[in-house]
Amino acid sequence: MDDNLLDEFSSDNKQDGMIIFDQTDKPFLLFYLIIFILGIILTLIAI
Amino acid sequence: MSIQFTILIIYFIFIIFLGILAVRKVKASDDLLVAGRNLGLMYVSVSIAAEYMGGLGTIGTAEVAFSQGMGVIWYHIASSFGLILFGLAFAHYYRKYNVITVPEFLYYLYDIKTWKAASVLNVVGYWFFTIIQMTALGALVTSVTGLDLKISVLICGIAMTIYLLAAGMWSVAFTSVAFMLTIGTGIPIAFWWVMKKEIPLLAASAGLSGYAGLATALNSVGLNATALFSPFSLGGMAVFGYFIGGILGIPAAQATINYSFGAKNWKIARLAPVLAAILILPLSIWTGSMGLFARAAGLTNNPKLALGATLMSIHPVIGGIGIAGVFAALISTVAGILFGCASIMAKDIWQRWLHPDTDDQYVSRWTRIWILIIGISSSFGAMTLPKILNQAFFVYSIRGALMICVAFGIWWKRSHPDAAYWALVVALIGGVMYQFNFPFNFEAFFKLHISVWCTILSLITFVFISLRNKWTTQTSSELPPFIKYRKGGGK
Repeated sequence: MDDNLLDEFSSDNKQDGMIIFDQTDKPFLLFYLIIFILGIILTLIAI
Repeated sequence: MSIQFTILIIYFIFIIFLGILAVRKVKASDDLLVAGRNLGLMYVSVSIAAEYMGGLGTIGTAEVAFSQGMGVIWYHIASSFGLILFGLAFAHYYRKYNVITVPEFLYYLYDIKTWKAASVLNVVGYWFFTIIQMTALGALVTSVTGLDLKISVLICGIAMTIYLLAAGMWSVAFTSVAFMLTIGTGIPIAFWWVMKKEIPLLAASAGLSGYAGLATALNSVGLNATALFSPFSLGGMAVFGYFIGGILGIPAAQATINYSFGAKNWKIARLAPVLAAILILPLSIWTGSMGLFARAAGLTNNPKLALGATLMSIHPVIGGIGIAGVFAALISTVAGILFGCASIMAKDIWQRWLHPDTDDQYVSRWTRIWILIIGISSSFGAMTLPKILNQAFFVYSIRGALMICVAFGIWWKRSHPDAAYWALVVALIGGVMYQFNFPFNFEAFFKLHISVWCTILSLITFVFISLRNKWTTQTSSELPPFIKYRKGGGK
Protein backbone atom coordinates (compact mmCIF):
# COMPACT_ATOMS: atom_id res chain seq x y z
CA MET A 1 0.00 0.00 0.00
CA ASP A 2 1.22 3.45 -0.90
CA ASP A 3 1.46 5.47 2.32
CA ASN A 4 1.51 8.78 0.47
CA LEU A 5 -1.72 7.82 -1.22
CA LEU A 6 -3.16 6.80 2.11
CA ASP A 7 -2.31 10.22 3.56
CA GLU A 8 -4.05 11.82 0.60
CA PHE A 9 -7.30 9.94 1.24
CA SER A 10 -7.18 10.20 4.98
CA SER A 11 -9.29 12.94 6.48
CA ASP A 12 -7.74 12.65 9.91
CA ASN A 13 -4.09 11.91 9.39
CA LYS A 14 -3.05 14.59 11.84
CA GLN A 15 -2.81 13.02 15.25
CA ASP A 16 -3.19 16.28 17.15
CA GLY A 17 -6.63 16.67 18.65
CA MET A 18 -7.65 13.11 17.87
CA ILE A 19 -9.61 12.22 20.97
CA ILE A 20 -10.34 8.63 21.96
CA PHE A 21 -12.57 9.35 24.99
CA ASP A 22 -14.78 12.40 25.09
CA GLN A 23 -17.58 13.54 27.38
CA THR A 24 -20.23 11.47 25.58
CA ASP A 25 -18.16 8.33 26.11
CA LYS A 26 -18.01 8.59 29.88
CA PRO A 27 -21.42 6.99 30.63
CA PHE A 28 -20.60 4.23 28.20
CA LEU A 29 -17.23 3.64 29.79
CA LEU A 30 -19.07 3.09 33.05
CA PHE A 31 -21.53 0.83 31.24
CA TYR A 32 -18.68 -1.16 29.73
CA LEU A 33 -16.95 -1.57 33.08
CA ILE A 34 -20.19 -2.65 34.80
CA ILE A 35 -20.79 -5.39 32.23
CA PHE A 36 -17.19 -6.51 32.36
CA ILE A 37 -16.87 -6.53 36.15
CA LEU A 38 -20.34 -8.05 36.68
CA GLY A 39 -19.44 -10.90 34.32
CA ILE A 40 -16.19 -11.61 36.17
CA ILE A 41 -17.81 -11.44 39.62
CA LEU A 42 -20.72 -13.71 38.64
CA THR A 43 -18.33 -16.18 37.07
CA LEU A 44 -16.05 -16.28 40.09
CA ILE A 45 -18.82 -16.71 42.65
CA ALA A 46 -20.55 -19.33 40.51
CA ILE A 47 -17.49 -21.56 40.32
CA MET B 1 -48.91 -16.04 28.68
CA SER B 2 -45.71 -17.26 30.39
CA ILE B 3 -43.36 -14.93 32.30
CA GLN B 4 -40.60 -15.62 29.75
CA PHE B 5 -42.98 -14.65 26.90
CA THR B 6 -43.98 -11.42 28.67
CA ILE B 7 -40.33 -10.43 29.29
CA LEU B 8 -39.52 -11.10 25.64
CA ILE B 9 -42.46 -9.02 24.32
CA ILE B 10 -41.64 -6.01 26.57
CA TYR B 11 -38.00 -6.24 25.60
CA PHE B 12 -38.79 -6.43 21.88
CA ILE B 13 -41.06 -3.36 21.98
CA PHE B 14 -38.36 -1.44 23.86
CA ILE B 15 -35.76 -2.36 21.22
CA ILE B 16 -37.96 -1.20 18.33
CA PHE B 17 -38.62 2.08 20.17
CA LEU B 18 -34.88 2.55 20.75
CA GLY B 19 -34.06 1.90 17.09
CA ILE B 20 -36.68 4.38 15.89
CA LEU B 21 -35.46 6.96 18.45
CA ALA B 22 -32.20 7.18 16.49
CA VAL B 23 -34.02 8.72 13.50
CA ARG B 24 -33.28 12.26 14.75
CA LYS B 25 -29.58 11.59 14.09
CA VAL B 26 -30.09 11.08 10.35
CA LYS B 27 -29.72 13.98 7.94
CA ALA B 28 -27.65 12.56 5.05
CA SER B 29 -26.75 9.20 3.52
CA ASP B 30 -23.52 9.05 5.53
CA ASP B 31 -25.59 9.19 8.72
CA LEU B 32 -27.51 6.12 7.57
CA LEU B 33 -24.54 4.17 6.28
CA VAL B 34 -21.73 5.05 8.70
CA ALA B 35 -23.52 7.07 11.43
CA GLY B 36 -21.96 10.26 10.03
CA ARG B 37 -18.53 8.84 11.06
CA ASN B 38 -19.40 10.08 14.49
CA LEU B 39 -19.45 6.94 16.63
CA GLY B 40 -17.45 7.10 19.85
CA LEU B 41 -15.34 4.34 21.33
CA MET B 42 -18.11 2.67 23.30
CA TYR B 43 -20.71 2.71 20.51
CA VAL B 44 -18.24 1.09 18.12
CA SER B 45 -17.03 -1.52 20.60
CA VAL B 46 -20.47 -2.60 21.85
CA SER B 47 -21.86 -2.67 18.28
CA ILE B 48 -19.03 -4.97 17.14
CA ALA B 49 -19.37 -7.19 20.22
CA ALA B 50 -23.17 -7.43 19.99
CA GLU B 51 -23.03 -8.21 16.26
CA TYR B 52 -20.40 -10.90 16.76
CA MET B 53 -22.29 -12.67 19.55
CA GLY B 54 -24.86 -14.51 17.45
CA GLY B 55 -26.58 -17.89 17.35
CA LEU B 56 -23.30 -19.72 16.80
CA GLY B 57 -21.70 -18.06 19.84
CA THR B 58 -24.63 -18.77 22.19
CA ILE B 59 -26.86 -21.70 21.17
CA GLY B 60 -24.01 -23.18 19.08
CA THR B 61 -21.42 -23.16 21.87
CA ALA B 62 -23.91 -24.69 24.35
CA GLU B 63 -24.60 -27.38 21.74
CA VAL B 64 -20.88 -28.21 21.35
CA ALA B 65 -20.34 -28.24 25.14
CA PHE B 66 -23.35 -30.55 25.56
CA SER B 67 -21.76 -33.07 23.17
CA GLN B 68 -18.03 -32.54 23.55
CA GLY B 69 -17.34 -30.52 26.68
CA MET B 70 -15.79 -27.22 27.69
CA GLY B 71 -13.15 -27.20 24.96
CA VAL B 72 -15.67 -24.93 23.26
CA ILE B 73 -14.19 -21.99 25.22
CA TRP B 74 -11.64 -21.77 22.40
CA TYR B 75 -14.38 -20.54 20.09
CA HIS B 76 -14.50 -17.14 21.77
CA ILE B 77 -10.76 -17.06 22.51
CA ALA B 78 -10.17 -17.50 18.77
CA SER B 79 -12.88 -14.96 17.88
CA SER B 80 -11.32 -12.45 20.27
CA PHE B 81 -7.95 -13.07 18.64
CA GLY B 82 -9.53 -12.34 15.23
CA LEU B 83 -11.08 -9.11 16.51
CA ILE B 84 -7.82 -7.94 18.09
CA LEU B 85 -5.99 -8.77 14.86
CA PHE B 86 -8.54 -6.75 12.90
CA GLY B 87 -8.30 -3.84 15.34
CA LEU B 88 -4.53 -3.60 15.54
CA ALA B 89 -3.63 -4.49 11.96
CA PHE B 90 -6.53 -3.55 9.66
CA ALA B 91 -9.07 -1.14 11.17
CA HIS B 92 -7.08 2.08 10.83
CA TYR B 93 -6.47 1.44 7.13
CA TYR B 94 -10.20 1.08 6.46
CA ARG B 95 -11.00 4.17 8.50
CA LYS B 96 -8.26 6.34 6.97
CA TYR B 97 -9.59 5.56 3.50
CA ASN B 98 -13.04 6.71 4.66
CA VAL B 99 -14.65 3.64 3.15
CA ILE B 100 -18.25 2.60 3.73
CA THR B 101 -17.90 -1.01 2.61
CA VAL B 102 -15.18 -3.66 2.29
CA PRO B 103 -15.60 -3.91 -1.52
CA GLU B 104 -15.04 -0.14 -1.68
CA PHE B 105 -11.67 -0.69 0.05
CA LEU B 106 -10.79 -3.21 -2.68
CA TYR B 107 -11.72 -0.51 -5.20
CA TYR B 108 -8.95 1.64 -3.74
CA LEU B 109 -6.46 -1.20 -3.38
CA TYR B 110 -7.02 -2.78 -6.79
CA ASP B 111 -9.40 -1.91 -9.60
CA ILE B 112 -12.98 -1.67 -10.74
CA LYS B 113 -13.51 -5.32 -11.72
CA THR B 114 -12.28 -6.56 -8.31
CA TRP B 115 -14.59 -4.14 -6.54
CA LYS B 116 -17.58 -5.28 -8.64
CA ALA B 117 -16.80 -8.98 -8.07
CA ALA B 118 -16.39 -8.42 -4.31
CA SER B 119 -19.64 -6.42 -4.16
CA VAL B 120 -21.70 -9.15 -5.83
CA LEU B 121 -20.13 -11.95 -3.74
CA ASN B 122 -20.73 -10.02 -0.51
CA VAL B 123 -24.35 -9.20 -1.27
CA VAL B 124 -25.21 -12.77 -2.28
CA GLY B 125 -23.36 -14.30 0.70
CA TYR B 126 -24.85 -11.93 3.27
CA TRP B 127 -28.35 -12.21 1.82
CA PHE B 128 -28.31 -15.98 2.33
CA PHE B 129 -26.70 -15.56 5.74
CA THR B 130 -29.47 -13.14 6.79
CA ILE B 131 -32.10 -15.76 5.89
CA ILE B 132 -30.29 -18.54 7.77
CA GLN B 133 -29.83 -16.40 10.90
CA MET B 134 -33.46 -15.21 10.77
CA THR B 135 -34.52 -18.85 10.90
CA ALA B 136 -32.45 -19.39 14.07
CA LEU B 137 -33.99 -16.27 15.61
CA GLY B 138 -37.51 -17.45 14.73
CA ALA B 139 -36.78 -20.88 16.23
CA LEU B 140 -35.77 -19.29 19.55
CA VAL B 141 -38.90 -17.13 19.67
CA THR B 142 -41.03 -20.16 18.80
CA SER B 143 -39.46 -22.22 21.60
CA VAL B 144 -40.36 -19.54 24.15
CA THR B 145 -43.68 -18.26 22.85
CA GLY B 146 -45.15 -21.36 21.26
CA LEU B 147 -46.01 -19.29 18.19
CA ASP B 148 -45.79 -20.85 14.75
CA LEU B 149 -42.22 -20.67 13.36
CA LYS B 150 -43.33 -18.73 10.28
CA ILE B 151 -45.16 -16.14 12.37
CA SER B 152 -42.14 -15.76 14.69
CA VAL B 153 -39.79 -15.24 11.76
CA LEU B 154 -42.12 -12.71 10.13
CA ILE B 155 -42.60 -10.67 13.34
CA CYS B 156 -38.84 -10.54 14.04
CA GLY B 157 -37.94 -9.77 10.42
CA ILE B 158 -40.44 -6.94 10.04
CA ALA B 159 -39.62 -5.38 13.43
CA MET B 160 -35.91 -5.43 12.67
CA THR B 161 -36.46 -3.93 9.22
CA ILE B 162 -38.57 -1.11 10.71
CA TYR B 163 -35.92 0.03 13.14
CA LEU B 164 -33.12 -0.28 10.57
CA LEU B 165 -35.18 1.82 8.16
CA ALA B 166 -35.39 4.57 10.75
CA ALA B 167 -31.70 5.34 11.12
CA GLY B 168 -29.45 2.60 9.67
CA MET B 169 -26.14 2.40 11.53
CA TRP B 170 -27.35 4.82 14.21
CA SER B 171 -30.23 2.42 14.95
CA VAL B 172 -27.78 -0.47 15.17
CA ALA B 173 -25.52 1.53 17.51
CA PHE B 174 -28.40 2.60 19.78
CA THR B 175 -29.92 -0.87 20.01
CA SER B 176 -26.49 -2.48 20.42
CA VAL B 177 -26.07 -0.71 23.75
CA ALA B 178 -29.30 -2.34 24.98
CA PHE B 179 -28.36 -5.66 23.38
CA MET B 180 -24.92 -5.67 24.97
CA LEU B 181 -26.38 -4.81 28.36
CA THR B 182 -28.86 -7.68 27.98
CA ILE B 183 -26.29 -10.19 26.75
CA GLY B 184 -23.63 -9.08 29.24
CA THR B 185 -25.96 -9.30 32.24
CA GLY B 186 -28.72 -11.77 31.24
CA ILE B 187 -26.49 -14.67 30.24
CA PRO B 188 -24.02 -14.46 33.20
CA ILE B 189 -26.90 -14.04 35.68
CA ALA B 190 -28.59 -17.15 34.26
CA PHE B 191 -25.23 -18.96 34.41
CA TRP B 192 -24.70 -17.94 38.05
CA TRP B 193 -28.23 -19.07 38.96
CA VAL B 194 -27.76 -22.45 37.28
CA MET B 195 -24.42 -23.05 38.99
CA LYS B 196 -25.43 -21.88 42.48
CA LYS B 197 -29.14 -22.67 42.72
CA GLU B 198 -30.07 -25.32 40.15
CA ILE B 199 -27.15 -27.73 40.32
CA PRO B 200 -27.57 -28.46 44.08
CA LEU B 201 -31.21 -29.37 43.33
CA LEU B 202 -30.12 -32.22 41.05
CA ALA B 203 -30.34 -35.52 42.91
CA ALA B 204 -27.08 -36.64 41.29
CA SER B 205 -25.10 -33.59 42.45
CA ALA B 206 -25.07 -34.67 46.12
CA GLY B 207 -26.19 -31.15 47.05
CA LEU B 208 -22.97 -29.57 45.80
CA SER B 209 -23.04 -26.33 43.80
CA GLY B 210 -20.74 -24.93 41.09
CA TYR B 211 -18.45 -27.08 39.00
CA ALA B 212 -17.98 -29.57 41.87
CA GLY B 213 -21.73 -30.29 41.82
CA LEU B 214 -21.82 -30.37 38.01
CA ALA B 215 -18.89 -32.84 37.94
CA THR B 216 -20.60 -35.08 40.50
CA ALA B 217 -23.85 -34.98 38.50
CA LEU B 218 -22.09 -35.74 35.21
CA ASN B 219 -20.12 -38.65 36.73
CA SER B 220 -23.23 -40.13 38.28
CA VAL B 221 -24.99 -40.30 34.90
CA GLY B 222 -22.05 -42.27 33.48
CA LEU B 223 -20.13 -39.41 31.85
CA ASN B 224 -16.46 -38.51 32.36
CA ALA B 225 -16.56 -35.05 33.97
CA THR B 226 -12.75 -34.67 33.90
CA ALA B 227 -12.73 -35.16 30.13
CA LEU B 228 -15.75 -32.89 29.58
CA PHE B 229 -14.22 -30.10 31.70
CA SER B 230 -10.87 -30.26 29.93
CA PRO B 231 -10.13 -27.15 27.82
CA PHE B 232 -8.79 -29.54 25.18
CA SER B 233 -11.88 -31.76 25.05
CA LEU B 234 -12.47 -30.90 21.36
CA GLY B 235 -8.98 -31.83 20.18
CA GLY B 236 -6.28 -29.73 18.53
CA MET B 237 -7.78 -29.65 15.03
CA ALA B 238 -11.04 -28.14 16.25
CA VAL B 239 -9.14 -25.42 18.14
CA PHE B 240 -7.01 -24.78 15.06
CA GLY B 241 -10.22 -24.53 13.00
CA TYR B 242 -11.63 -21.92 15.40
CA PHE B 243 -8.46 -19.82 15.05
CA ILE B 244 -8.49 -20.11 11.26
CA GLY B 245 -12.14 -19.03 11.31
CA GLY B 246 -11.37 -16.06 13.55
CA ILE B 247 -8.39 -14.90 11.51
CA LEU B 248 -9.99 -15.41 8.09
CA GLY B 249 -13.54 -14.55 8.98
CA ILE B 250 -13.27 -11.20 10.73
CA PRO B 251 -10.91 -8.70 9.06
CA ALA B 252 -12.95 -8.55 5.83
CA ALA B 253 -16.45 -9.28 7.25
CA GLN B 254 -18.54 -6.21 6.45
CA ALA B 255 -21.29 -6.90 9.01
CA THR B 256 -18.84 -7.20 11.91
CA ILE B 257 -16.34 -4.49 11.10
CA ASN B 258 -18.41 -1.72 9.48
CA TYR B 259 -18.88 -0.01 12.86
CA SER B 260 -15.16 0.80 12.76
CA PHE B 261 -15.85 2.64 9.48
CA GLY B 262 -18.29 4.83 11.41
CA ALA B 263 -15.75 5.67 14.15
CA LYS B 264 -14.92 9.32 14.82
CA ASN B 265 -11.27 8.74 13.95
CA TRP B 266 -8.85 5.96 13.14
CA LYS B 267 -7.60 5.62 16.71
CA ILE B 268 -11.12 4.77 17.89
CA ALA B 269 -11.54 2.43 14.91
CA ARG B 270 -8.39 0.60 16.02
CA LEU B 271 -9.06 0.40 19.75
CA ALA B 272 -12.79 -0.46 19.69
CA PRO B 273 -12.41 -4.02 18.28
CA VAL B 274 -9.92 -4.77 21.07
CA LEU B 275 -12.49 -3.72 23.70
CA ALA B 276 -15.14 -5.76 21.85
CA ALA B 277 -12.82 -8.78 22.00
CA ILE B 278 -12.62 -8.47 25.80
CA LEU B 279 -16.43 -8.37 26.03
CA ILE B 280 -17.00 -11.53 24.00
CA LEU B 281 -14.17 -13.54 25.60
CA PRO B 282 -16.04 -15.23 28.51
CA LEU B 283 -19.33 -15.97 26.68
CA SER B 284 -18.70 -19.65 25.97
CA ILE B 285 -17.79 -20.32 29.63
CA TRP B 286 -21.38 -19.29 30.51
CA THR B 287 -23.20 -20.91 27.58
CA GLY B 288 -20.98 -24.04 27.62
CA SER B 289 -21.59 -24.61 31.35
CA MET B 290 -25.36 -24.28 30.81
CA GLY B 291 -25.08 -26.76 27.93
CA LEU B 292 -23.37 -29.26 30.24
CA PHE B 293 -26.05 -28.67 32.89
CA ALA B 294 -28.72 -29.63 30.33
CA ARG B 295 -26.88 -32.90 29.78
CA ALA B 296 -26.31 -33.66 33.48
CA ALA B 297 -29.96 -32.88 34.26
CA GLY B 298 -31.21 -34.89 31.25
CA LEU B 299 -33.27 -31.93 30.01
CA THR B 300 -33.04 -32.92 26.35
CA ASN B 301 -31.44 -35.41 23.99
CA ASN B 302 -31.01 -32.80 21.27
CA PRO B 303 -27.75 -30.79 21.70
CA LYS B 304 -29.22 -27.92 19.66
CA LEU B 305 -31.86 -27.39 22.35
CA ALA B 306 -29.41 -27.51 25.29
CA LEU B 307 -29.32 -23.77 26.08
CA GLY B 308 -33.02 -23.17 25.47
CA ALA B 309 -33.98 -26.20 27.58
CA THR B 310 -31.80 -25.00 30.47
CA LEU B 311 -33.21 -21.46 30.42
CA MET B 312 -36.79 -22.71 30.19
CA SER B 313 -36.30 -25.12 33.10
CA ILE B 314 -34.94 -22.67 35.71
CA HIS B 315 -36.70 -19.88 37.67
CA PRO B 316 -38.96 -18.13 35.10
CA VAL B 317 -37.69 -14.59 35.78
CA ILE B 318 -34.01 -15.59 35.66
CA GLY B 319 -34.72 -17.83 32.67
CA GLY B 320 -36.60 -14.98 30.97
CA ILE B 321 -33.64 -12.63 31.48
CA GLY B 322 -31.32 -15.29 30.08
CA ILE B 323 -33.57 -15.86 27.07
CA ALA B 324 -33.69 -12.10 26.48
CA GLY B 325 -29.86 -12.23 26.45
CA VAL B 326 -29.82 -15.00 23.83
CA PHE B 327 -32.54 -13.20 21.86
CA ALA B 328 -30.44 -10.00 21.97
CA ALA B 329 -27.39 -11.92 20.72
CA LEU B 330 -29.36 -13.35 17.79
CA ILE B 331 -31.24 -10.21 16.77
CA SER B 332 -28.16 -7.97 16.96
CA THR B 333 -26.36 -10.35 14.61
CA VAL B 334 -29.23 -10.58 12.11
CA ALA B 335 -29.69 -6.79 12.15
CA GLY B 336 -25.95 -6.30 11.59
CA ILE B 337 -25.85 -8.74 8.68
CA LEU B 338 -29.00 -7.31 7.10
CA PHE B 339 -27.58 -3.81 7.41
CA GLY B 340 -24.16 -4.85 6.03
CA CYS B 341 -25.83 -6.50 3.04
CA ALA B 342 -28.05 -3.46 2.36
CA SER B 343 -25.05 -1.08 2.65
CA ILE B 344 -23.08 -2.89 -0.07
CA MET B 345 -26.17 -3.28 -2.25
CA ALA B 346 -27.16 0.39 -1.97
CA LYS B 347 -23.76 2.06 -2.02
CA ASP B 348 -21.60 -0.17 -4.21
CA ILE B 349 -23.95 -1.89 -6.62
CA TRP B 350 -26.95 0.42 -6.85
CA GLN B 351 -25.37 3.84 -6.59
CA ARG B 352 -21.68 3.70 -7.51
CA TRP B 353 -21.98 0.94 -10.12
CA LEU B 354 -25.44 1.36 -11.67
CA HIS B 355 -26.36 5.02 -10.93
CA PRO B 356 -23.07 6.86 -10.45
CA ASP B 357 -24.28 10.41 -11.12
CA THR B 358 -26.85 10.61 -8.36
CA ASP B 359 -27.07 12.88 -5.35
CA ASP B 360 -27.00 12.21 -1.62
CA GLN B 361 -30.77 12.23 -1.27
CA TYR B 362 -30.98 9.48 -3.88
CA VAL B 363 -28.47 7.36 -1.92
CA SER B 364 -30.42 7.86 1.33
CA ARG B 365 -33.69 6.89 -0.34
CA TRP B 366 -32.25 3.78 -1.98
CA THR B 367 -30.39 2.69 1.15
CA ARG B 368 -33.74 2.56 2.91
CA ILE B 369 -35.41 0.85 -0.06
CA TRP B 370 -32.72 -1.86 -0.07
CA ILE B 371 -33.00 -2.36 3.69
CA LEU B 372 -36.73 -2.87 3.11
CA ILE B 373 -36.27 -5.22 0.14
CA ILE B 374 -33.61 -7.36 1.83
CA GLY B 375 -35.42 -7.36 5.20
CA ILE B 376 -38.80 -8.41 3.81
CA SER B 377 -37.43 -10.88 1.25
CA SER B 378 -35.22 -12.49 3.92
CA SER B 379 -38.21 -12.80 6.26
CA PHE B 380 -40.23 -14.59 3.60
CA GLY B 381 -37.13 -16.64 2.63
CA ALA B 382 -36.74 -17.74 6.27
CA MET B 383 -40.45 -18.62 6.45
CA THR B 384 -40.31 -20.93 3.45
CA LEU B 385 -36.60 -21.83 3.65
CA PRO B 386 -36.23 -23.44 0.24
CA LYS B 387 -33.76 -26.34 0.18
CA ILE B 388 -31.53 -24.55 -2.30
CA LEU B 389 -30.57 -22.20 0.53
CA ASN B 390 -28.53 -24.86 2.27
CA GLN B 391 -26.60 -25.37 -0.95
CA ALA B 392 -26.22 -21.67 -1.73
CA PHE B 393 -25.04 -20.74 1.75
CA PHE B 394 -21.47 -21.74 0.83
CA VAL B 395 -21.05 -18.32 -0.85
CA TYR B 396 -20.56 -16.94 2.65
CA SER B 397 -17.45 -19.16 2.96
CA ILE B 398 -15.71 -17.03 0.36
CA ARG B 399 -15.04 -14.23 2.85
CA GLY B 400 -11.62 -15.81 3.47
CA ALA B 401 -10.73 -14.91 -0.14
CA LEU B 402 -11.71 -11.29 0.58
CA MET B 403 -9.40 -11.35 3.59
CA ILE B 404 -6.53 -12.56 1.35
CA CYS B 405 -7.17 -9.68 -1.07
CA VAL B 406 -7.34 -7.07 1.71
CA ALA B 407 -4.25 -8.33 3.58
CA PHE B 408 -2.03 -8.67 0.51
CA GLY B 409 -3.29 -5.37 -0.90
CA ILE B 410 -2.16 -3.59 2.25
CA TRP B 411 1.19 -5.28 2.82
CA TRP B 412 2.48 -6.75 -0.44
CA LYS B 413 3.66 -4.24 -3.00
CA ARG B 414 3.47 -6.73 -5.88
CA SER B 415 -0.24 -7.37 -5.36
CA HIS B 416 -1.82 -7.17 -8.80
CA PRO B 417 -5.45 -6.25 -9.58
CA ASP B 418 -5.83 -9.31 -11.82
CA ALA B 419 -4.64 -11.49 -8.91
CA ALA B 420 -7.33 -10.09 -6.61
CA TYR B 421 -10.09 -10.51 -9.20
CA TRP B 422 -9.11 -14.07 -10.10
CA ALA B 423 -8.58 -15.01 -6.45
CA LEU B 424 -12.27 -14.18 -5.88
CA VAL B 425 -13.43 -15.95 -9.05
CA VAL B 426 -11.36 -19.09 -8.38
CA ALA B 427 -12.62 -19.20 -4.76
CA LEU B 428 -16.18 -19.05 -6.08
CA ILE B 429 -15.62 -21.78 -8.68
CA GLY B 430 -13.75 -23.94 -6.13
CA GLY B 431 -16.55 -23.38 -3.62
CA VAL B 432 -19.20 -24.48 -6.14
CA MET B 433 -17.20 -27.64 -6.96
CA TYR B 434 -16.73 -28.42 -3.25
CA GLN B 435 -20.37 -27.80 -2.42
CA PHE B 436 -21.75 -29.94 -5.24
CA ASN B 437 -19.05 -32.66 -4.99
CA PHE B 438 -17.96 -32.06 -8.55
CA PRO B 439 -16.07 -34.04 -9.83
CA PHE B 440 -15.47 -35.80 -6.46
CA ASN B 441 -16.04 -35.34 -2.73
CA PHE B 442 -13.48 -32.65 -1.79
CA GLU B 443 -14.34 -32.74 1.91
CA ALA B 444 -13.64 -36.45 2.19
CA PHE B 445 -10.47 -36.22 0.10
CA PHE B 446 -8.78 -33.09 1.50
CA LYS B 447 -10.33 -33.11 4.99
CA LEU B 448 -10.74 -29.34 4.82
CA HIS B 449 -13.67 -27.09 5.68
CA ILE B 450 -15.09 -25.26 2.67
CA SER B 451 -13.93 -21.85 3.93
CA VAL B 452 -10.35 -23.11 4.37
CA TRP B 453 -10.49 -24.77 0.94
CA CYS B 454 -11.68 -21.53 -0.74
CA THR B 455 -9.01 -19.52 1.10
CA ILE B 456 -6.19 -21.85 0.04
CA LEU B 457 -7.35 -21.70 -3.58
CA SER B 458 -7.54 -17.91 -3.53
CA LEU B 459 -4.12 -17.64 -1.83
CA ILE B 460 -2.40 -19.79 -4.47
CA THR B 461 -4.16 -17.91 -7.29
CA PHE B 462 -3.34 -14.53 -5.81
CA VAL B 463 0.38 -15.21 -5.28
CA PHE B 464 0.81 -16.93 -8.66
CA ILE B 465 -0.79 -14.14 -10.71
CA SER B 466 0.88 -11.36 -8.72
CA LEU B 467 4.31 -12.90 -9.34
CA ARG B 468 3.54 -13.50 -13.02
CA ASN B 469 1.86 -10.23 -13.97
CA LYS B 470 3.46 -6.82 -14.00
CA TRP B 471 1.74 -3.46 -13.81
CA THR B 472 1.31 -1.92 -17.27
CA THR B 473 -0.45 1.08 -18.75
CA GLN B 474 -3.37 -1.22 -19.50
CA THR B 475 -3.54 -2.26 -15.83
CA SER B 476 -3.61 1.36 -14.77
CA SER B 477 -6.46 2.17 -17.14
CA GLU B 478 -8.60 -0.08 -14.96
CA LEU B 479 -7.80 1.92 -11.85
CA PRO B 480 -10.53 3.92 -10.16
CA PRO B 481 -10.65 7.61 -11.11
CA PHE B 482 -9.11 8.80 -7.83
CA ILE B 483 -5.77 7.14 -8.39
CA LYS B 484 -5.42 7.14 -12.16
CA TYR B 485 -2.61 9.64 -11.89
CA ARG B 486 -0.41 6.70 -10.92
CA LYS B 487 -0.71 5.51 -14.50
CA GLY B 488 1.92 2.91 -15.27
CA GLY B 489 3.36 3.03 -11.78
CA GLY B 490 3.92 0.08 -9.48
CA LYS B 491 2.16 -0.35 -6.18
